[in-house]
Amino acid sequence: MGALTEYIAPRIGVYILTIYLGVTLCFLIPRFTPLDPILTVINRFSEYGAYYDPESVEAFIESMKELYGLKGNLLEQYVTFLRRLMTGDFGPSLIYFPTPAISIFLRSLPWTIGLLLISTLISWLFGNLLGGLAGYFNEKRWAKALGVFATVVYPIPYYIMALVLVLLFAYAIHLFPFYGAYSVLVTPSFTLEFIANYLYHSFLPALSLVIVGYGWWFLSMRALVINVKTEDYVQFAKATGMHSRKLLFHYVIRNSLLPQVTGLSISLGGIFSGAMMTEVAFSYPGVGWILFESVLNGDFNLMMACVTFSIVAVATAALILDLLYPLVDPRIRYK
Amino acid sequence: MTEEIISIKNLKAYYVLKAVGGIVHAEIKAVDGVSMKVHSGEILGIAGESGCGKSTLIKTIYGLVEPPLTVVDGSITYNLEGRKISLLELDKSKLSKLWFKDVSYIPQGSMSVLNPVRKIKDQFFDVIKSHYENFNVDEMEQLMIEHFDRLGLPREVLSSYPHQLSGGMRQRVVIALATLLKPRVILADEPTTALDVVVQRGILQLLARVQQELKNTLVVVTHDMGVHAQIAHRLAVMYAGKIVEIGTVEEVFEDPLHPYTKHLIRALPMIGDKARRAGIPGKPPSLRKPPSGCRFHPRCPYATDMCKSAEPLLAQIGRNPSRYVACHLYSG
Amino acid sequence: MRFKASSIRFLKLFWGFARYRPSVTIGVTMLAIILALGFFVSLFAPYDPRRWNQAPRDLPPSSQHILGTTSLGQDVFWLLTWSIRNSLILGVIGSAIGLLIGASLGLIAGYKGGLTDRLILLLSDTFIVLPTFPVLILISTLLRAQLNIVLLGLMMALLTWGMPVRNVRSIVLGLRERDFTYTSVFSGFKTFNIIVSEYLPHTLPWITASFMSRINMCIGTEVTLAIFGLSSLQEATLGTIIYWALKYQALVRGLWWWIAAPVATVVLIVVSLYLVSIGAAEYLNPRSRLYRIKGE
Repeated sequence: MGALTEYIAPRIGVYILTIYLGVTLCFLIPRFTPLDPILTVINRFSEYGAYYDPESVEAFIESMKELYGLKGNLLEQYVTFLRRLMTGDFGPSLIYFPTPAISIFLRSLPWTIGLLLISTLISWLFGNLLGGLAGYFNEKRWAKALGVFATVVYPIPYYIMALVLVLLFAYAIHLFPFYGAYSVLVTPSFTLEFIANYLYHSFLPALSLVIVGYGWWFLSMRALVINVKTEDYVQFAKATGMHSRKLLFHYVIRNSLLPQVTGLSISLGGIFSGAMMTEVAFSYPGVGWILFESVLNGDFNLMMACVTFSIVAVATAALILDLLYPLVDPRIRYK
Repeated sequence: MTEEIISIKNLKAYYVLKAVGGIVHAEIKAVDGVSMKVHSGEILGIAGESGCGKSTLIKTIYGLVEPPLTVVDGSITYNLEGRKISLLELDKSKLSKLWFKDVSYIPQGSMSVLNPVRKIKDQFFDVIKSHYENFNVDEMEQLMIEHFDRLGLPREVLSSYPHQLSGGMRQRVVIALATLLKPRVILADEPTTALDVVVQRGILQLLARVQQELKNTLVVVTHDMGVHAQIAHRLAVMYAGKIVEIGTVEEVFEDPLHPYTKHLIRALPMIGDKARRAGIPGKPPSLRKPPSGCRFHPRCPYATDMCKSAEPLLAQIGRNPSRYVACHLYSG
Repeated sequence: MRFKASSIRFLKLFWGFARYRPSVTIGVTMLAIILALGFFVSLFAPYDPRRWNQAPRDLPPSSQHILGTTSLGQDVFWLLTWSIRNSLILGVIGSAIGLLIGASLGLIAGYKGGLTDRLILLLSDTFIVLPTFPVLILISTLLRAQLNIVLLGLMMALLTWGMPVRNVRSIVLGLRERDFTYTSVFSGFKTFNIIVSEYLPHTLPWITASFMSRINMCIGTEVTLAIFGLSSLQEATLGTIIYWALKYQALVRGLWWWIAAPVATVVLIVVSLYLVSIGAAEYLNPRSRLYRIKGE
């Protein structure tokens, strides 16, 4: 058990540090911006041609300050901020005033999770499996062909891939829709119809994520397998006359998969960012899309809610993966 | 007892190096014309300094030949219970069937040959399953436990992972694996290197005991003459890709004939003899461009002109059928 | 006469090499073309391509405007050449500075070990897990007015320096135990000298490959920021072209060339950089050199 604590403690340390750092950044940055959210709100209202007497404006500003957590000096604001964070209170969203930012965020979260989970899983599994096979049989033609494909797609940024798909399949060939998660007139429900409609709409965004992800997993797995193939225990196992399928899966791929699990936790940040971008490209109503809107409209609270939660979500997922790692690597489990 | 179980004729195995489509070309003549016989039921030792080609020789005898190692000439014939098998003509799948069932190989550096993410017993399962598909799990487990008991290895080792075991224990596990399916021949490459002397002795005793019980043949390759003294029956001395002397262990130790062997024996510490040990002058020869004639002539104190130009052949000495030397001093 | 002979020899060597490693050759060629476009051809632009209303609007590709024009009256081709230059500069800044910080810290962490090592790792791990994008959005929103190429590059560098630390550190850890380290220490080399003269060469293959892939990453991030309107919108970068194209509904209005050109260019840049980077890494890596010699 001692070895496990040695392993777990630093991971948790990083987790806490990351969240703390991210949250503090979220706190500090808007406060140094020349943009004054309260002024923005007031300007908005005055656009409607209303006139307010100075006292009510003062009172209004005070209550706004309270709402936006801008009361008091920096330290007081920080404490208030942290306290509010515990309850998930980010204040009201600007675009959807007065709906709290947090509820807008929570409404869009499931869409993102659905998209992310499925596409990450598929690309990780597919990429690693094909990469492993290609690495093992690396002289065959199909292995080389798969490798060329992966090499081309790997460096392409997520958004560009999304645009390529949009250009190809939505614009040039009218096969798939290129916006939304479901058709305009359909309401979300758990019916088969809706699910089919959803899949139809989310196919391109998911495909975009899967293709780019595949490139990375394929190439790294292939490199790992080529390396592992030369390890002593693989050579020895071969010399014992072991069947090649057993050798391939239990000796080569199994050992190559270990660093890939760690790799997954490291690349979660990038995958998440990529998913957000893909959502924007396809007007898919997930966290990325909401973030996009909030940036465009200067809706600070919503922006903060999205950013903070992104940081927490990614850090948590990475932590969970790191905690699961000992389950697959006996060298860490037993010391 | 003197039946031949392996017959090697004029074996030549080189490392062939080419680069960028044939621009650079080099041949490392690791095994250059080796002929010898291994007798059934004996322990044959192959001695020689590092880089003389003995590891390559034993790998080739096992059939583990992969580029850049290429067998350029010669034949290896196994005689297993009446079946004559020409090893070099077998394809990969037939070789795999032979491996670890009829012939076993214990590689150098057994510390790292076990799969780090698989329990010992699972690896053993893998090997058994690859040769006998009809065994069920319980039968296999029985087999392994009996085997471990017989070899004196603790049963808990079976449920452990390799990193939980010491180097010596891992070596023993590999030996257990190599002897599990009761092969007729076991080829061991430096089975005791990188282990301390106490563990070494245990390993050697284990090997000797295995050989006695299964009555099979053991070939041990090592530069450590002490190992040969402890367990070998017959000894072959190798130098620069060639065998230079063969004889029983007693004959070679007490009356070494080839100048190289003489140096080897003289370099060993001996109880009661306090004289300074002399090393062998000169450097080991390059296997890429070996010296002309007798390969030992640059370092040999008895070298003559003939030694520089003509290569001495391995020839029987007098009437002793098991004594061979490749040296101009003794032939003709 | 001599020029002809040596150039023929050069072509022969090049062709031999191209047959041996086609992927690297393709990469190098594409990269050469792109660099030429960005840094050479761009100098010949007849006018500042960023200015609006220089050319008739919304024209599809023709002989006068090779890649068509935008709704703002800009020539797409010349805009593209300038944007290649800017995007590349941005990428190089972001990549080089981030690599400098990360690799230095990695070298120190690997060599010193102990508490220094642990602290550096803790800090860099935090930055690795931190999702760069949301934070970049935040920072860019703040600095909207003052954004320019250099600043963008710096921002990216400061957020992505975490990655190289672990990689360089593991290379150094492998080297630390080797004999030549002890030799250097015993000969009285100071720490800094050891790090620079002995370890740096071993990390070069990895650094080269990483440098190029980071350029890719920076270019991609810039494009992404631009979509959000958070890039340096007055400059011509590949991202900003896409931003303006989307803003003016280029796709829906059928002005495909406005979007397709920057998208295709980005794809070409990233793929060629990647191909070159693997070629360079393989060439510099002594282990794979050995593998190549291993023989058929």
